[in-house]
Amino acid sequence: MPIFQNSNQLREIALKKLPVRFSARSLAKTDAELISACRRGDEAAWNELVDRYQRLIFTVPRRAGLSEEQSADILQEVFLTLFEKLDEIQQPEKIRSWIVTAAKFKTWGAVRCEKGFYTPETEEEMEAEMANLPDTLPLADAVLIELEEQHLIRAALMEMEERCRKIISMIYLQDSAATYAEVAREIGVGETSISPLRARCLKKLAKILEK
Amino acid sequence: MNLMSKNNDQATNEIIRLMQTDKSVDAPADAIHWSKNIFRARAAEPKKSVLEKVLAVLQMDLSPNRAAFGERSASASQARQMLFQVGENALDIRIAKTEKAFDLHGQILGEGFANCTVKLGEFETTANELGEFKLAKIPSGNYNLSVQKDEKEIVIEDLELK
Repeated sequence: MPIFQNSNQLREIALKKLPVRFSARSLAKTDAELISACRRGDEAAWNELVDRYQRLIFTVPRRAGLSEEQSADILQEVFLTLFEKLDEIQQPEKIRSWIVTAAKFKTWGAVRCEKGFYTPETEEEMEAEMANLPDTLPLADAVLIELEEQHLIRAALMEMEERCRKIISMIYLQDSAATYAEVAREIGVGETSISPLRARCLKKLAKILEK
Repeated sequence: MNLMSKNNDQATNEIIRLMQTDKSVDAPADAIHWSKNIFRARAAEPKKSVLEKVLAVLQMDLSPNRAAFGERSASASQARQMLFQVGENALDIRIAKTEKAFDLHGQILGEGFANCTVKLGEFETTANELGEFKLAKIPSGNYNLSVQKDEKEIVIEDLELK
């Protein structure tokens, strides 16, 4: 779809303004390696790519207020477009930015359609409209960059040893916030050990993110 | 604000804040499943051929022992010589009869066909950098000759070896 041709440029501008503060280099297989494997017909690499990005993509339309069904449709559209453009992607190492921009464009298209907004006729018009979205909107760059950072933290957590992953996830992730006592029971140590363990695990997490 | 410029405590606090405000959830399982299946479903579809196939047009056909116009008869070849034109390329073919079969020498002239694949019916060879090729000991018969490089194929239909 021509709509994405210049989106990298748009994203670059946004990233310069608000740089993502973590790198993805610590991931077990880099995005570029996965894209390259997909191009060679490696289905397992595609599945890994879907697993890696489904949550981030799904979150973009959800944050913009779209329903779960609409957001699932956008997720599927983004992956379909990605598959169709696998061989055309010039900078596979920047696929995360491409994915987020694609999700943003498709979300904005769905929001605009729902509200009966004017539909830009050309790609340039669409990009100009996207670039001028006020920062207060749910799809503002600052919000998207934060979503990317949260995605990177989740990915880094997956790289940690199981005990650390459990401690950090249970204490800090919203969907599983637990007390020290609950964490201690879960991993089989005394409650007083949790605080130093938590500190060490956080340090390891920060190290992975800074790689 | 760059995380790298923060001290350790600030960086850790920022990571904690991001985790605590992370409201994301997994996409529905069926949407994930559908997205994964794109790869298998599409990969199984036969790819459309983008091969550009063009038929060569015969420009000159010289029988054995017959000199070309303007040449001395002494210089006439023992082989049948044919010249085909295809756009900016030309295909020069010489067919020599041996005891029991035919040897076919040829050259594709013009750009884009160095080291091309040459097929004569079920016989196949690869041209050199100059586009020259040879197919030896071909039984008599009628063949389609194809010269292919990348997405371009030149075809001569019903080439008679007799």
